[in-house]
Amino acid sequence: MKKLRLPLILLLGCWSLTVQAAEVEVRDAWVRLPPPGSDTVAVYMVVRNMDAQEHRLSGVSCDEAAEGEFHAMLRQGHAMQMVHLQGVDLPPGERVVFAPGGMHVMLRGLRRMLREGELLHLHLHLEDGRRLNIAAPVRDMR
Amino acid sequence: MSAARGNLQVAGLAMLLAAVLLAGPFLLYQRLVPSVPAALTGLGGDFTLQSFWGPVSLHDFQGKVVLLYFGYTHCPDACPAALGTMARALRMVPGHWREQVAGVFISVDPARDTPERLRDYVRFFDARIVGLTGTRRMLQEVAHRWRADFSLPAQRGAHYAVEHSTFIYLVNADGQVVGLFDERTASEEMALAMQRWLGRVQ
Repeated sequence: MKKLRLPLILLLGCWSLTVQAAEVEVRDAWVRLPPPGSDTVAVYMVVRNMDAQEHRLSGVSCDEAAEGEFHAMLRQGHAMQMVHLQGVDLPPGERVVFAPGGMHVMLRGLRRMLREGELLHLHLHLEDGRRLNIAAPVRDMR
Repeated sequence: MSAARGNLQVAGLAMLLAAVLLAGPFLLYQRLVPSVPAALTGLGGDFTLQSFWGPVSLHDFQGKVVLLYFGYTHCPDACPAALGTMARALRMVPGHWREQVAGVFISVDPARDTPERLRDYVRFFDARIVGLTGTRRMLQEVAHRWRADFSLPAQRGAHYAVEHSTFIYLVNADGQVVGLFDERTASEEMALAMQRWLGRVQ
């Protein structure tokens, strides 16, 4: 039994790193179907922190894209500016909405064309080292 | 009831009737013959830019009602949202006006948006949308006259974002800017506005 303990701890450790963090939930994630030739795509979602303490999204990655970033849109009068966010705070008990015209996840350097209806798998990285795996359907918004 | 008071009542009723009879046609006239908002006079104007198929000018669209937008193809959020809304509005216009509506997408990022790339980008949304670009100087001049702001970052690596205004311009069959929308405007509203202006085209 003692021999088994270390591998078991390691195994549990890995499991807790990769599995969904129960107190942070992602809902209604979707990807805007990009036009052909476009290697940049926006992902939208609602992130809920059901924990009593604050969490923070520190990064995003996707096996199908070279890079992922969080962006905010700054609307000044009728001009729109995209601002790269290093991270996104998730206050306790609150919902953080990523929606068109507001915050979004930008994936750059898509490795292949996306098709409507397919699921794109992304990983949201929490500052505490945990990872949230999400599957976002691709939607044609034309 | 005195005769004077009776006459007054008759006169009042007659005036009311006249008002009702006149209001109908007046409201209908307003609906059918839209006017150019004063704030938009002098905005816009003709230009010639490059498409994949060759030079395209605004006056090439004479007789058509056009939705026009400034943006760039590497824009993940605002531009596809605007073009999607424009494309839906174009599709909502009834069939007999199908070829009398069009869209124009002007890329302010000519370094990355070649006319070929623009052709593929816009036709994903609707075949009636044409993608145009030009030299930075030409684009600056057009943007200035259309009061569309854009700024490219001074340091441009492989990836960069372009700040740009989000107007969707409604251009009538005479090439005048007659309305302003943005990507948050309902497609139905744009389609209705286009049809009102088409109503004046014979």
